[in-house]
This record gives sequence, structure tokens and C-alpha cells, in this order.
Amino acid sequence: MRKSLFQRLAVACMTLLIGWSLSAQSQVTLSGTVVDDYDEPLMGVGVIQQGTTNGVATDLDGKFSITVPAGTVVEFSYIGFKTQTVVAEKTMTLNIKLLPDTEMLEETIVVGYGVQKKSDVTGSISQVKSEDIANRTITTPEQALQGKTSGVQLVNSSARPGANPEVRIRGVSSNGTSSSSNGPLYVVDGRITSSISGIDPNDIESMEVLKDGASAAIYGARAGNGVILITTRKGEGEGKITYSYQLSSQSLAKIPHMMNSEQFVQYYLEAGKFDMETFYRNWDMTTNTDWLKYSYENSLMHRHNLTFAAGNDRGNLYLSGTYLKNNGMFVGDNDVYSRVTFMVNGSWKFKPWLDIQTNNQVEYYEAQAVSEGSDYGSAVLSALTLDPLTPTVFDGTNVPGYVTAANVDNLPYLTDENGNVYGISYFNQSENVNPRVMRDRTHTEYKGFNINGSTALNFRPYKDLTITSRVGYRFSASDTYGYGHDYYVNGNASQNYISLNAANSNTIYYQWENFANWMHQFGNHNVAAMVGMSYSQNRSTSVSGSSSPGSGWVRVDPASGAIDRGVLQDNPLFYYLAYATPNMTKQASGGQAAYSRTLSYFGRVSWSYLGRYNLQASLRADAADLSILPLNKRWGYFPAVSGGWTISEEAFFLPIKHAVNYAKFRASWGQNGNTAGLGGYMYASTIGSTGYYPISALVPGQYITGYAPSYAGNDELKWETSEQLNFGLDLRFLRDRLTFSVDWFNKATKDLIISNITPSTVVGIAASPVNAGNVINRGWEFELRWRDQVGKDFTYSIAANLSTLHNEVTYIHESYTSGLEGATVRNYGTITRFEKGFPAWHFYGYKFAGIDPATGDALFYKLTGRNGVPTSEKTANPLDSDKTDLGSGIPKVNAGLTLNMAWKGIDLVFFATGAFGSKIFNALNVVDYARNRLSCFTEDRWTPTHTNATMPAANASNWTQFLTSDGVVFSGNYVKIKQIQLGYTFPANFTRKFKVDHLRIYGSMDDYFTFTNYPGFDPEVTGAGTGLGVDKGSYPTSKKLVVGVNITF
Amino acid sequence: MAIAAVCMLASCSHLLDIPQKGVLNFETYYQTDEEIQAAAIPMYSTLKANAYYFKLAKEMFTDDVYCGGSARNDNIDLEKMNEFTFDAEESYIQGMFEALYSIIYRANVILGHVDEDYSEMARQIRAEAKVFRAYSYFELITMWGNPPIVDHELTPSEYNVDNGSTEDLWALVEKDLTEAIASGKLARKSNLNDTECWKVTHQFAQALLGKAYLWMATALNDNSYYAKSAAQFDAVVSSGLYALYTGEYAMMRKDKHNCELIYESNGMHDDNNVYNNVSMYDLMIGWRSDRMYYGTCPLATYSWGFRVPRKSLYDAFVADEGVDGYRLNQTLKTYKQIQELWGAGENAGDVMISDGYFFYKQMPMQDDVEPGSMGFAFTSDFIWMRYAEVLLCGAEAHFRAGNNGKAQEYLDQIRARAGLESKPVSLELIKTEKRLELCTEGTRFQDLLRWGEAYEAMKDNGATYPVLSSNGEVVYKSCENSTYGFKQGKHERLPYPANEMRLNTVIKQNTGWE
Repeated sequence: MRKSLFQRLAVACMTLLIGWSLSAQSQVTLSGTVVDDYDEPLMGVGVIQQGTTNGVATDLDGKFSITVPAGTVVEFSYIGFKTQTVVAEKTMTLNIKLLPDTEMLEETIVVGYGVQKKSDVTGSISQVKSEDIANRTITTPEQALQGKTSGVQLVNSSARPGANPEVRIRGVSSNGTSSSSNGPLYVVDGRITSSISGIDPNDIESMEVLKDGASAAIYGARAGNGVILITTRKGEGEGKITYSYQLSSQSLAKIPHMMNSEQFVQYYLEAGKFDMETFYRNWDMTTNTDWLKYSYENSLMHRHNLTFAAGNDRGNLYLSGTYLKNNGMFVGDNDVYSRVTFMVNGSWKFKPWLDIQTNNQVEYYEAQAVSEGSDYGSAVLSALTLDPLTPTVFDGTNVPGYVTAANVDNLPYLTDENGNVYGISYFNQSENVNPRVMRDRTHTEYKGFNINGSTALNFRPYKDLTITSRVGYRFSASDTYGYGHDYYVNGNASQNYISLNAANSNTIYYQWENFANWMHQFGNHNVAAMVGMSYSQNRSTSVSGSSSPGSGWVRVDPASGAIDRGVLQDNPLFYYLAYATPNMTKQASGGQAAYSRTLSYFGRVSWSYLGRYNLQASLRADAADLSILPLNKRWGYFPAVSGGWTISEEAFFLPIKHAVNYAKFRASWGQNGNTAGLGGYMYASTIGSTGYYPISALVPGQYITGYAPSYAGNDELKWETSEQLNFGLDLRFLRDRLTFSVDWFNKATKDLIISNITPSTVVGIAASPVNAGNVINRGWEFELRWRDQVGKDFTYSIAANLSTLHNEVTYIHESYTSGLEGATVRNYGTITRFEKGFPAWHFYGYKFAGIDPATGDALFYKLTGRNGVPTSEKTANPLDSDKTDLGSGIPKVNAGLTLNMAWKGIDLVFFATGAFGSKIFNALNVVDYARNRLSCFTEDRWTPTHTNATMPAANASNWTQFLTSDGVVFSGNYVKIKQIQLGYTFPANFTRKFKVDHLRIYGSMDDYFTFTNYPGFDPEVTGAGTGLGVDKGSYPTSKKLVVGVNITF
Repeated sequence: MAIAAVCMLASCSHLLDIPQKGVLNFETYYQTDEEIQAAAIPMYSTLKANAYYFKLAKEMFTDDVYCGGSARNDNIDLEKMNEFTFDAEESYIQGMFEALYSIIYRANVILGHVDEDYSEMARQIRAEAKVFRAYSYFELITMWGNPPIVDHELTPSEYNVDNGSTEDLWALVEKDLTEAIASGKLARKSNLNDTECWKVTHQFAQALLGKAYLWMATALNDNSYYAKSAAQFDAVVSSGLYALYTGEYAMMRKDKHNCELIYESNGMHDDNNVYNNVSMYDLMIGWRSDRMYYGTCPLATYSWGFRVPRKSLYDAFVADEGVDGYRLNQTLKTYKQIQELWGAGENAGDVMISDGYFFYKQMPMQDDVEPGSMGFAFTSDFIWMRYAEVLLCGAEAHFRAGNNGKAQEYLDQIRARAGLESKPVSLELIKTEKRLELCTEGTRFQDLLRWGEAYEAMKDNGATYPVLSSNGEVVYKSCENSTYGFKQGKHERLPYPANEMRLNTVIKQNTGWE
């Protein structure tokens, strides 16, 4: 439907244009019909005088007529077909038969330790290519996956400048809470890594997501959460120099509705928190501070990229440098991320039998951030929830009495650049204070570099065999430096000394891999085999130090009145550990290097017959070092088999082949491991220190340090194993214009590592972790792409993907009959659990049953028991046994849609993503302090005159229970238009006058429109790990207005 | 080349054998005196670290105290225990049970790994391990009845352990203590004023064995144990290394390692490690500082006011020694007294849970608080056994064995120190003296169970609670428990913790708790 609309429009446009392009100078006219290899007429074939814009498109019957100067070359091009050319010598009638372009079948994709023709693929692999990444405002490669591939979900705990989202491939498979426990394994040009944040997205040629168990199994023990292969770019052509610049203006995308001062006063009067007298005394009756406006500003992100690329059949060179500076939208320069990245890629074919390629990346970054994501208080949270009655600053240093009276230590008040003291709330004297105080009271800088890459030697002793020896490395170092001011806001937010901290860490990683690929064709058989080994070592070390008051420290010396702030001078030049005062205690920790090493062997065989039948099998054996697994469980074996049947190659398929030109069934089974939850010798029973015991009553410092076995030991400990079954179908219609693939997968992960269990109390010692938990992830994935051209100038494509996910914990150790406990809200209770029968870290609490019209209290359903079903009884005082599942932060459906259109020099990209079926737990409210509340909690509240309300009365007696009920759980459904980009490429014959081969300018709106019912900041940024979907005030995604230019010389 | 590389790396799997830092090898530990001594420390520190559970739980299970706190539901766990509405999920019960088996495990490790023939130190630490194991089993048997016997490190195939029989359990206690005493290797104080009472001593083992025999007489229904019991207490007395404290009675805990203390967990003032002495117990039992002003009272002020005395305890003191009794006034203060003495009292308009009586004996003092700990750490020791208990148990053992003279002698010493005249010994009098002398010291619950008097004493725990206003008025309110108080046929034994029941497939729950 959409297709025909576009086609009609485009044809109409072209018909108009063709009129102008005619001229009459020794002209010849070519006319005739264009047909395909089944002799069907082809409509919309571009017929163009080569090197010009003079051209026509074939009509419905495949007919065309074009007049060109004699002797020029005319091109016939159509998507899915090989382009043909004809020299127009004289006026003539032609019958052109276009032959199908089998390029798509010949296209290769990267797989583990090799490449594969797409037609031979038997697993489930999604691909993101450089054109999907170009000109976006994303700063890390992970972001390029969102919405572009099925089965991939991004989890954000923050969208601050430089934040990395976490990637989930096919759901959540582990109870582990570190980002690596559920994140994929990344392989960058063969180098295995857990992070790809140091790579600029522009330097990526393609990313392959190995989703199914069989594809990933070649990476064995660490591939249980899927594998993402990244191929960085290579040089090609005579020598191209490209410069790109992108400027983004960022601002708050969505402004939540909070109460204004008048509403706030009314609300907390009703709550009985303050009387009118108190308001009169501590509010000037006019102040109505918009803390969000005070806290966020329009800010800029700059990105410069310069690339040199060249290549020929002997080798290639790619040099790229990118400078990125993102000053986040929190007011001021305290949320900043800047980064310089270089990439140096090259290859050379020294001999017909020997070539070398090397890919190297260098990254340097600096970052600062404001606090966020804590229910007790953060800069982001206070900008939302501080009361509107407090002024942003006091006049000069004129601090109200309620502040001075309480400041017994005479600590300094923080001020703005004009010396005005930041406003201090009377009504909310919690740790959640003026957002600019939150911003300014501490200063923390993160800096570091990564140098990483891989170099491979490819040796071809004879034509069917390639032996590769490849070294990968990563050197990285980072340091953190920070200090905290002495300052006073209220009893909960003050510090009477200047605290200092600093940390340095570095990592040295290398791997060495040797593998041989053999390919042989005999008759209709194609066989291939690969065998290899891998060894890696990671060494990381860090040292950190801090200073805090020692036992002899007093701020004000009673005798002299001298003030000891903790540093020699109250001057940032002295805010270093070296200048802490003598009575401050300096503490140091770390210094010991942690090593981990792995040794692996792997192999794969594949066979294909007639291009119709493909079979593949692989096996990887991984050995982990002693810090990971006990000696007897060191080796793990990860097998996989898969097969494909290209049904469209069968004789019986021929009748419909002109419509369905390709069809393949795929099936795969594979096992993968996950060792992220292991490490630290957790299986071992060793003697460790149990702390020291004083042995003398009267002499301080006389201790004996106790030693005892730390854990009972578990020699049976092993990695988590995922076993995954995948069935897929690939279809291509109409000469590949329409491609469609569907996958069904069932991924069962067993042997989750459960810590802190007791085998039985009487054993008398904590058990080592055991393998005692199972999770399943199951779902469907659809990818659809339509691409077409209308005439010679208009091309467009539509790519859509949709994936479903069913996630469920199916077993957990008997010690945890009520599940592992996850996130909490203040001290109101645990709100997420990892529990049998529910999605990982599902929300858990009371079932809100509306408002009691008599009292204004919230009511909750009495359940038939814990996790039971609601009874007809409602209560204002629910018990623990009335808690149950309240949904999950894991979306049931993720979808993405990309439209690309190009007409002459103009191009348009529209890209949207959405997630459905998830819930968000809003944890912004508290009961003990008068925080501002989202209007959705206050507008329709119960009052004595409005008893038919949906929200509790301001003074309801059970707000605590309400805040742990689904009264604060919202739908997490959203659709976000990530990009609307309009570009214009200047005609080459114009730009060449300035020696410019290619010049494109564009404007874009990124993350600009979000459609959601969620009342908070951003449904896309709501926590990770155990707090997946729990919104405690995270830095939201900004909306961006973007302009950019790409110039190629 | 690649093949050579593969071969080279194939031999590199030893590179995977990365040693763990910061730990020692279990198999090769326990080889030097230093290592053996260090192995004993975890037993000491586990008991100290869990004092909070033992002290509060055992005090809550009696008729001497209310839960206390600022208001009803201030601490639901303590209320449940005090009112006998707890169940097998109760975290304090779990805490005690786990701590005891943790000590037993550590003792078993020593007994399994430290070679007796190695050195004097080896023999001493093995003896200490036996005392700790016996101490743990004494607590387990007297509160849970028939806990599993774990007398060695369990291997995974042995993780499910059935309940031990009463005979076997007491036999283990008797054997451990007898062997430890017979070894002669346990430490002894050198004289009355030696401060080494933080350590497990020969006399502590003897006193424990004496206590064990006292309980065994009842549990095994064999009166011959009374004489055996008395003999052990006599041995402690005749050592001459202990005496009743003659300083200010209430300050006994403050006078660290005084001559009366048989065994206590050591606390120490140390500027550099203030948080080594965090004591939530002392925080809990101090007077309710946010509702009260302390005037000139020297008690520590940052505390929460749990474990408050019942009027019945005060009345029992008065019956024994009159309103002006020395021991009474050192143990308890009335609301009026604290107002008169120190100008202390409740803030006007505030209320808290109290009968109008305040514990004073062994309370944390202001200068016990570690400066720089925000009020959380105290240098006070935890007293586990003092000489008064030896005398009182000795008196009971002698009395029941028919040796009234010795019983009278021991009892008179207790009464004399309390400023009371001698009274003819009787079982009733011994019981009363034990209640008063050792109130809040964690002996009464087990005594009441042994004497069969727990039901009578605690059947009404949980009916009402008192609310004290600043004018001194006390109002009793209903606890609104649908069921409360000590139940016969159930509360004679604590339940095995619910978690243990889930994990241990063979253990049987105590009657009434299934």
C-alpha cells in the first residue's frame, strides 16, 4: 500500500522532470523494452545517460524511450539486477534483458574465526552495517544496535554524556548483576573484549550479532549471552579524505508535570506535614521555583572526524581520528564527556601466500558526571522533586534563620558564581537538596585511555588452506580523582571536612590465536573445516586512596580556634592527598594485580551440497584459570550443530521462483557458557582472615588476627550453561526487493551461580556458591526489508524488525523459596525479586485496589497468600503475604522501523523504535520528607470533598505501602522517533570544481519525539541489573537538533 | 609455525594455575604455633559478634522485661519474642542457631586439623576448641532440645544431619569438657587480679561442666549428677582465683576484667579501630535518648530504650531486700529516682514503653562510647559468666545433693554482697537470688525451662504493655495479640529455624512448631 503510493508520487515527479532534460544536438533515440530473466517486463528501470542526470524510467510494460547525444553510454540499472550498458550510436529499438544480481547471495558475513557466504548461514545472525550507523548522534557502538536488529535490547541506567548502555541479546539469562553477567561477548577484529566503548561508531564497517547458540558456540564458555562481532573499516580506492562535522543541540526531551507552589502548599497542608503558619514563616508567598528549568539547559555536542582511506589489491590503509565533546544538558560544565579516538587499520599482501593486516584503536577520554539514580537524593532527583517554595538562591549571603540556627559547626554555604548562597529548603531537610549544591559539593573527574587492536598474519601454503596467527591486545588505564567540599545545607546534607579520593587502575590484556581454515570443492560438494586455539591473559591492577577524619581530628581547635578543614589550604590547588592535614587518616587499598587466563581449542566443519543443503558442526573446549573454576572442572566443552535447506533451489520450487526467489529453512542447536558470575576463587575453601580480636583489656592495639576457612568449598562449581534451539526461515521476494526472515528460539540457561546459600545451618560455614538456578528465554524475531527504486532517481527502503520475549526463572535453590532479593525503595521493602515462575527481577509488592472513599487511604487486595490471587477483600493494612508480582521491566516486544528515501541529492531517514509490555516502577516519592510529587499522584487525590478519587489522600495513613504497590507501577510502553534526518548531497559536477568529490549537509532531529504514558523523565532510561525498570531519577535521554556536514576529497 | 605455536601453548596449561592472593592453603595450614593460635580466634570473635542475638533474645524470653522502645511496633522482632508470638522464621533464633553451629564448625576444624602432638600450644587450643564446642552444645540443648550432632567437619554427603539424642548430646558435652579439663592445658589466671578472663580458662571449663551436670540431672532424670555438679563448682571456688566484686555493683561491667568475671568477650578502646567495637546491643538497651533528657546521668545517651524492666521484677527485688536495697538500687532505678538523682526524665508530651523503671546495672556509660563512632561503638565487654553464677549454681547443686551447709555458704556470699543478711537456704530462695542477681544476664530463660516454671512465669507475656508519660503516669494497653504468652507443649523448646527446616531434609521440628 505504502509502496504504490511512493511509486506513484515518484513516477509523477519524474515525468515532470524528464521534459526538461531533452535537447537536440546530434541526438539519437533509444527505445524498447526491458525484461527480466523470465521475460517479464520490468517497470521502473532507470535508463540514464552515463555521468549525467539525463534519464528516464521504464513504464508499466517495461517500455522506455531516451534521447541522448550519439556515442554516449546509456545505463540500465535496477535494484536486484546487474547494471547493463549500451553505447548509443544510432536511433534504435532495443530489447534489454537484465540478469539478476546474485550479489546478495554472494555477500559474506563475518562469523567466528572466518567469513561465510550469507547463503550458507545456518544460524541466526543479524547485521548492522556502516550505513545504519553513519551520521547518527550515538557515541558508542552499542547504541547502533537498538532498533536496527531483532532480538537485541538496550538497557540504560543513565543517558549522561559518555554513558554506555548495556546490551541484552535474547533476554536476561543470568541472576548475575554485573553488566557482563548478562551482556554479550564482543569480538573486535578478532580481539575478545567485554567493552567496545572505546570505538567510535563511525569507524565500524559492520556488526554481526550472533544470536543463536550454534553461531555463538565457537566462542564457548563466554558466549552464553550472545556474541557481537565488530569489523572495523578498511581503506579502498585511490585515496579518499573525508571530513565530517556534527553539531547537536541537546535539551530535555520530556518535562514531567510536578506541583507548583500553590498546589504544593495545599497538598502538604492536607497532608498535615506543615500548618499555614509554617508556610507563612518560611515562604515568601511568591516563589514558585521551576527546578527543572533551573537545572537543565540547552547544551552542545560537537564531533569532528577526519578519515584517510586508500586501498588496492595489494593492501589498504585506513586512518581515522575523531574528537567528540559532549557537554551534557545539566546546567554548567559538570556533566561532560570528551573523547579522542584514532584508528589505524592497514593490510599488505607481501606474497601471494602471505598477507598481514592490523587494526588498532586508541582512545583517550575525560568525563565528569552529576549524581543520579538514588532514591535518597541526587542532582537529577532533586531537580524533579525539590519543593517549588524554596528560592534558587538567597539574596547575597542572607541565609534564613532556620539554616543558621541548625549549623552548629559554622560550615560554609555553597554559593553561585555571584556569591549568592544557593537556596536551602525549609520544607525538605533531607539529603536531597538544591540540585546545584548536589552538583557543586563534590568534584569528580574520570580520565583514561585504551589502546587496543589486533594484528594477523595470514599464510596460504596452497589455495584451499589459510593459516592465521593473530595477536590481540588491550592496554588501558584510568584514573579517578575527586574531592568533597566542607559545606552545610541541613542536618542530613553537610560535611565538616574536605574529603579527598584518588584511584588509578590499569589493565594489560593480550591474546594469541592460531587457526587454520580449509575449504575444498569437489563435484557439487563444498566442504570447509577450521581448527584453532586461543590463549589469553588479562592483568589488572588498581590502587586507590582517600582521606577522612582520623581519631585526633577536630574541625575547630578549642584552644586556638584554628579550623582544620582536612587540607592544608582551602584552595583547590591543595585538594590532593599529599596536602591532607596531619590528623586526617589517609587510607590506601589495592595494589595487588589480578590475573586471569584462558586456553581454548576449537574447530568447525561444514558441508554443503548443490548449494541446497548445509550442515555445520562445531566444538569449542575452554579452560579457565584457577581463579574461575576448580581444577577438576577447568575444561568446558561447547558443541553445536546446525543445518540449512535452501528449498528455493529444489526443482519443485521453480514455478514460484520468479516471485519468491529465495527460501531457506534453518535449524540450529548449540551450547554456550557464561563465566561472568565466577571469578575470585569462589569455589575454593581456603584459610582467610576473620578479623582481629583484642587480647588485652587495657593495651590498645594488641590483637590476634583470626584465621579460618572462608567457605565450605564447592569443587563441583561450573559455569552457567545456555542451551539454545533456533529455527529460522529466510525468504526473498521479487528479486530481493523484499526480504523477510523469521526466527523462533528457545534458550534455556541452567546452573546459574547462586551465592550466599547455606547448605544447612548445622554445617556451620557459609557455602561456596553453587549452580542452582535456571532461566528460560523464548521468542520470535521478524526482520523485514523492502527496497526499491522508482525510476532513475528515487530509491527508498523500509526496514522493520520486531521481536518478542518470554523470560522466566524456572528454578532457584531451595534457600531462596521466595527468590533472590533485588532493588529496594528506601527502607520500604524489596521491590524486585529473582524468583521462580516470574521474569528475572520482576517487581514485587502490593496490589493496589483503589482508594477507600471513606478515609482516602489506599486499599490493597488481600491475596490468597504470597503470590496468590486477589480475593474480594480489600485492606488498607496489607501483610507481607499480600505481596505479589507487579510486572517486569523487561519488554515483551521490541520493535524498530527505518525508512530511507533518496531523490536526486536529497535523502531522508526516519527511524523509530519502541518497546512494549514492560513496566516501570516509579520510585521518586518518599513519605518522610515533603518532596514534590508528579502531578499524576496528586491531581486526582482523595479529599473530603472529592472522595471518588484514584490517588490516596495527601494524609493517607499508608503511603508507605502505596509506594511499594502497583499504584506506582506504570506501563513502560513507548515509541521513540530516534531520528528524522534530511540531507542534501551537492551534485558532483558542482563540487568537483572545488576538488570536492562528495559534499553532503544534513539536519536531523534525534530522540526528538517520545510517545509514552509514563509520567517520569524517560521510559528508555530506567535502571539496569536488579533495578531494571526501577526509576529512581536517572539522567534522561536528551532530544537533539543536529546539523552536520560530510566532505570527501 | 602455527603447529609449533599450538604445541608450545598446549604445554602452557600450567599458566592457568594462578595462585589466590590474600589466603592460605587449607591443607597446609595449622602447622605452626602462630597459625594454631590464630585458628582459635574465630571462635572468640564469633561469640562476640553474635552477642547481640544471645543477649537480647534470651532476655526477651523472660518475665523480667518488656520489649520497650518508643512505641508499639518499634521493634517487632523483640516484641514477638517477649510475647511468645514468634515463629520459626524469627531472625534472632536463626542468628543464635547459626552462630552456635559456626563456633562448632570452627572448633571441629581445629580438632580435625591441629595435631595434639605438635606442641603445648596445639594441646591448649584443642582444649579451647572442646570448651567452645561444649559451650555451644550447652546452649543448643538447653534451648532447642535435640539439635543435630556435628562433631567433625561435614563433607557434602553428610550435610543432612538428624536430631541428636538427649543422651548422646549431653555425652558429647561431658566428654569435651572432661577432656579439656583433664588435659590441664587450658589457661589459668595467675592470681585473683589477673585480667585474663577474656580467655577460655580451666575454671570456665569446670564451671561449664558444673552447669552441664545441673541440667543433665533434670534432662537425664538422674540425681547423681548434682554431686558431680557441685564438685565442679567447688573446684572453681577453691582455686581462689575468683571472688565477688566489691566495687560499685552496677559498674561491674565497666571495671573490665575484674575478679568476678569468669568469661567475657573483650572490648577495647582503640582510636584507630573504633568500629571494631560497634555494639548494637548497647545501643538497643540504653535509655530512649530521643524521648528523654538525661540531666547529669552518666549513662550513654545515644540509644533506643529496648529491654525495659517489668514492675514484677522490681517487686521481686522489694520483696527480697526492701525498697532501699543496695542491689536493687544498683540494678534498677525508678522514674522518680532518676528525676531526683540526675534531673533526668521524659520530654514533656512524649511517651515511651516503660513501667516506670529503668535498668542501671551494667548499662553503657558515656565514656564507654568510642569517640568518633557516631555513638555506635562501645568499649564495654560482654559478660558471659561471672562468679556469682558459679556460687548460685553451686548452691543449687549442693542443696539438691543434700549438702545444705555448702549451699548455705555459697548463698550467703551472694546475699552478703547484696547487703542482705543470711537466710536459711531453700530452693525457693536460691531461685529468687538467682533471678535477682543475674537478671538481664541471660540465664533465667534456661533456668525457668529447667525448673519447669516457664509457663507460670511467662503465660501472660504479651497481654499488655505499659506506656509511661512524662508525669510518671503509667497506662497499660492491650498488645492486641490474638494469641500470646508461653504455651505449654510448645515453648519449652525453640523452633529449629525455618531455613534449616527447608535445607536439612532429615531434621525433625520440635513439638508444636511443625
